[in-house]
Amino acid sequence: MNMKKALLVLAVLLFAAPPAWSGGEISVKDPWVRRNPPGASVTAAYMVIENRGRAADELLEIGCSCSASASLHITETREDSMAMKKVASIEVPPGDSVVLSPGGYHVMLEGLSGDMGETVTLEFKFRSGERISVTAPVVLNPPAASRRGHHH
Amino acid sequence: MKRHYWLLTALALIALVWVAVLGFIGTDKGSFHGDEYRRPAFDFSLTDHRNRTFSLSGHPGKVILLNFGFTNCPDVCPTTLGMLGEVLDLVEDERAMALFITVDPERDTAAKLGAYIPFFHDGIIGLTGPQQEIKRVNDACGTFYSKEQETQGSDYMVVHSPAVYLIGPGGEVMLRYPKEKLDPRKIAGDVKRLLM
Ligand SMILES: [Cu+2]
Repeated sequence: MNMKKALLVLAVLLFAAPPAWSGGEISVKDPWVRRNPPGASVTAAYMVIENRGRAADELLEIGCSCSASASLHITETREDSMAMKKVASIEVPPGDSVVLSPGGYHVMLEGLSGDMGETVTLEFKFRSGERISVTAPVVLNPPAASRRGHHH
Repeated sequence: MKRHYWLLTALALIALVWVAVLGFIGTDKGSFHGDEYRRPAFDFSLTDHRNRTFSLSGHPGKVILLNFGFTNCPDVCPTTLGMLGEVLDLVEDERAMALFITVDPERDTAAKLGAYIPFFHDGIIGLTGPQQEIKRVNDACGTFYSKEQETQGSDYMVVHSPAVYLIGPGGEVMLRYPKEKLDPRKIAGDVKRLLM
């Protein structure tokens, strides 16, 4: 292999390959689960879902070993009332990210099996077929990373 | 040289007057962080999380922060309770109180609140009681709550106000903090001012 050919291969790898190398185009960042107060059998999980791809994707399902059920919810606040609603899925536009944070989208964990420990595993299933598994810390307050930048 | 002293004295006087004027504007009663929300004084009687009777009329002269919620509300209610705990720590005055009144008395018994509330702050008082009495407190605050049955199963949620209400030393609802005004430092500022 001469020098020219080697450079050509390198160039092809550099410019053509990155999307393939980066694996999934969907990633889950800064996950955390609120530690449930004593006696509470429900809590919520939060995270940022990023889509670096060129097509929209959709979070369809979520699972947690810590609870009997996990569902996607949104808290809707009007001037004088606040309610949680189930949503079938959460769309993640291409080149964008969706933030799940207190007062907005959250993963509702119901039927908790006692003490949650220090971390739990969350499993995500997307319309694109992508499946992601992340370890989330169980904490009292949102970690500093998820506090930054989500306030206007 | 003498003329310079006069000039300096005059400037100092003008500066003093300005400081006094600005100080007066700064402590003007009209500039609370919470929305002014004057409603007549009222009373209620509920059961606290230590299973004792709590009456509003039993706490005259106190500044009371009040919020509605329920223990099966995992998203917003814990955030507000944490915020109220921060306010109590910032104010550090026995004349300041924080109340969490359940809008789900069927499930939130005094015992359940007894396990749940102290997790957030020792100073927060959890209250439960008959629906009628809880509704009366909501009415006095100019708000409401309603139970919403899930389409399947026996589970339900309770739609309720996200706001925190401030009851002044005279027992009247004075200020309202909507969701976007739930800032512990600023609320603590209002409480301190009312306790001065
Ligand atoms: Cu929820």
